[in-house]
Amino acid sequence: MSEAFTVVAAFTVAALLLSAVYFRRYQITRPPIGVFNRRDIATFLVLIVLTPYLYLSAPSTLVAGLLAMATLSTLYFTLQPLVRRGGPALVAAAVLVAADVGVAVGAGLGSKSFLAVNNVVLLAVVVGVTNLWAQSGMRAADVTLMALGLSVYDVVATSHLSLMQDLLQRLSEVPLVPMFAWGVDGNGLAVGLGDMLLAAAFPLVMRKAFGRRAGSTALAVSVGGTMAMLALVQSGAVGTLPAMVALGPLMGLQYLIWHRRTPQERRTREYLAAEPFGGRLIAPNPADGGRLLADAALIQPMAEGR
Amino acid sequence: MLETAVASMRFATSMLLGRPFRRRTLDGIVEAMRQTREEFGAIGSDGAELVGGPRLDEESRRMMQGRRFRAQARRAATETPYYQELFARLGVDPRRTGEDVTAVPVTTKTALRADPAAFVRRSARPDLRVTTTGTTAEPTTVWFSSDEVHTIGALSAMSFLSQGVMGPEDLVQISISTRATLGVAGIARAAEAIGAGLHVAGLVGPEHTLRLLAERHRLPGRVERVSVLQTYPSHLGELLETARRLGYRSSDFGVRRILVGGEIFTSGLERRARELFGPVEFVRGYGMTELLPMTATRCSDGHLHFEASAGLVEVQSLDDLRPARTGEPGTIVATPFPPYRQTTMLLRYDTEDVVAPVDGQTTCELRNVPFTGDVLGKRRLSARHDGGWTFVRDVAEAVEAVGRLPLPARYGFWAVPGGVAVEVVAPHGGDDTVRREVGSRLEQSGVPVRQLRLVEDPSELHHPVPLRCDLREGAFRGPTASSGAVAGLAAGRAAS
Repeated sequence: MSEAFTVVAAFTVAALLLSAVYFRRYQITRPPIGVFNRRDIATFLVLIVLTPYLYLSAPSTLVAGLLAMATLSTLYFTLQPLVRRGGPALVAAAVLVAADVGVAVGAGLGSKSFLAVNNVVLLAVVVGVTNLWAQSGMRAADVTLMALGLSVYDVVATSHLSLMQDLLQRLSEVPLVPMFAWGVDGNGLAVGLGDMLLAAAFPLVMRKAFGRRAGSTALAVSVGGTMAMLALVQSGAVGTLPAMVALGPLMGLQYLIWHRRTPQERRTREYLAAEPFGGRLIAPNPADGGRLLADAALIQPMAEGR
Repeated sequence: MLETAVASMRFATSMLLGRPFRRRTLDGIVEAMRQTREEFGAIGSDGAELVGGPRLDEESRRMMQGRRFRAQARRAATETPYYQELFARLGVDPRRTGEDVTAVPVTTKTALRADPAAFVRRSARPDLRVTTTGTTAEPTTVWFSSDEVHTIGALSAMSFLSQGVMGPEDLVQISISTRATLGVAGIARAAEAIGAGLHVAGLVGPEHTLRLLAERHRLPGRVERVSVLQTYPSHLGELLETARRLGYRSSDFGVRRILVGGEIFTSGLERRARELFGPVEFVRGYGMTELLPMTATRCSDGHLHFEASAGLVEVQSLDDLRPARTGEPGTIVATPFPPYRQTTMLLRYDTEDVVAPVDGQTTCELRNVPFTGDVLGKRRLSARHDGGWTFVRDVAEAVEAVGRLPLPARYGFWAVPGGVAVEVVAPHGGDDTVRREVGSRLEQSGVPVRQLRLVEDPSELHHPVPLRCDLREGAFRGPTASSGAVAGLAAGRAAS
C-alpha cells in the first residue's frame, strides 16, 4: 500500500465520517428562509458545467481569488458552530486560508507540506458544504438526481473530453486545490472535491430522509466505493476514473430501494422529532428580541366602532 | 434557495430605496417561507427579520424616517391635487421640512372623505376603491392599486408564516363583513399563498357561524374543523352567548387561533372565549384601511409596534395640535411610506384612534420597534369630562368583565358634570346585584360614574356605541319565506 493511497484514503474516509458526525452534533447556520430544492440542483449542475470553462479562461490570480473567497466563507460557516462565535470563526477560517496560500508560496504547490495543509482545509470544506446542503432541507430525490446528472457529465467531461484533465492541471497551479491529493511525479493520487461532496452529502440526506439504517448503508457504500476506486487507480488498472460514474448509479439504486420501502421522505422536522439532535444548537440571540415584521395580519379596519 | 436569496435582496432593495415591490419577489419570499415551515416546522426569528426591515438605532431611525417623510411629501406635493394646493396655500416646501414634520399640517378624515381622488398620485394606477364600513360617520374611500392589494396579501402571508399563525393544514374561516374588502382580501390571499383551506363565511348569524365552526370536513391534508377564525370581538361575543344558549361545548370546536380586530378586544371577552373554545391563541394587531399595508404588531406588554420603514407614527394630544406628552393619551397620526404606499398619498393622517400613554421605555420582545400604547377607542366616541377623558376601552373592559351581562356588551356613555353617565343593556333591565357589580367594575376601570342606567333592550340606549356585529349580512328571502331563516342564514338580530 503506497503512501499516496494511505494519505488520500485517510482523508477521504475522514471527510465522509466527519461529515456524518458533524451532521448529528452541530447545527450549521443555514439561510433563514428557503429550502434546498430542485431548482438549486439545476442551477448547480449548470454552474458545474460552466465553471471549468471560467477557470480555464480566467487568469490564475482571479481563479485563486475566487477559490480563496469561496473557501473562506465555507470555512467560516463550518467553524462557527464549533467555536460558537462569529469573530473567532472568521479568524480561524482566515488563518487556514492564509496557511494554505502561504505554504503554497513558501514550499511550493507540489510539496508535502502544502498538500497536507490543503487536504486539511479541503476536509473542513467538505464537512461544511455537505452539512449546509443536508441541513438546508436537501431531499434524497434531489441529491440522487444531482448525482445521476453528474454521472453523465463525468463520463462526457472525463472520458470523452479533456476538460477535467485540463481543469485539474489548471487548478494544480494555484493554492486551495479542490482535491485530496498526495504524491507527485507519477506516483500521485487524488480525489476531486465534487466527487467528495456528493459521496459525503448522500449519507446525510439519506439519514434525514429515510432513517439511521439508510444513512449508515449510504455511508458504508460511499466509503467502500471511493476506497475501491482509489485502489483501482492505485493499481494502475485505470488512469483516471470518473468517480460519479460508479457512485451515481449506486446512489440511484439505494434511493430506489429506500423509496420503494418508504415512499414519503421525512422532512427535517420529522427527522429531528424521530432522532433528536445530539449536539450543539445555535440558540437565537436574545438581544434580537424576536423581532417580527410589521403585522400585516389584522387588516380589518380598527376601532372605527367602539 | 438561490432564488430565495435573489428575492430577499430585491425585497431589501425595495425597502431601502422605497421602490415598489415586485409581485414575483413577494411571491418568491412567501413560497420560500412556506417551504421553510414545511421542512423545518417553523421559521426562526432571522427569517422574520429578513423581511421586517432594517434594525436601526434611534438616531438612524429618525434620519431614515425623516428622509422618507420628505420623499413622500415631495411626491404628494407634485403628484396629488390636494397636497399641491395645500403646500402652495401654506407656502411650505416639502423638501425643507427637515426633521420637523409638523410643518406639514395634519390630514383629517373629513378632507379625505370630501375628495378621495385628490389624494391619488397622477402617475399611480388606482384599480380598487375600498371604503371603510363607516360605523361612526360616512364611509371613507381609499384607492389602491392591484399591486398594493397584492402586497397586502403577501405581507399578511409572511406575517402568518413567520408567526406560525396559519399553515397548509389549517381551515380558515373569515367571519367579518365581506364589505371589509382589504380585510377579507388580505387574509384570503394569504391563505391561498400558504395553501390553507379557506371559507369566506361573511358576517352571518351567530347560529350559522357556530354551525360552520362545528362542522366536520373530511378533506385530504386538512384538519377536520375550522382551526383559524377571523372575526370581530362583538361577533365573537355573539358566538359565546349563542353557544351557551344552544348548549355547545368546547369539544364541538377545533379552533386553535382567533384573529380579532376592528374593535376593542377586552380581557373579559378573552376569558369567556377561552371557556368556550378552550386554549385558543388570540392574534391581535392594529390596522386601518386608510393606512394599509402599514400596520402594527401588538407585543406581550400590549404596545402597538409600527415598523419604522413602513411609516411614521406620531401621537398627537387630544386637546390641541401638539405631540402628546409622556403619560398623556393621544391619537395616532400616521404617514405610510413607500414602497408600502404608492397610490393614495396621506401625510400625517389623523386616524382618530386614541392610544394609551406610554412612558417611552419597554423591555418587551419588540423593544427595538417604535411603539405606542394600545388602542383606547375612537376620539369621537370618547367623553371629555371634568376629571379628564373616559374612553371606550375603559367602559368596555368593565362591562364585559361582568359575567351576568350578555355578550357582546351593549352600552353607551357621555359626559355629565363631574364624570360620565353610563348606560348598559342587562337582562330584564338588571337587578341590584348587577347594578352594583357594573358600578364597581366601572369604578375599578377608573370611570367616574355619575349616572348608571340599566336597560333591557338595546333600542333603549341613548348613545349606543356601534358594534360591527350589527353589519350582519342577510340572505335572499323569497316571498314565501316565513321561518326567518333562508339558506341556513339566520335572519334578524341575535340575542344580546
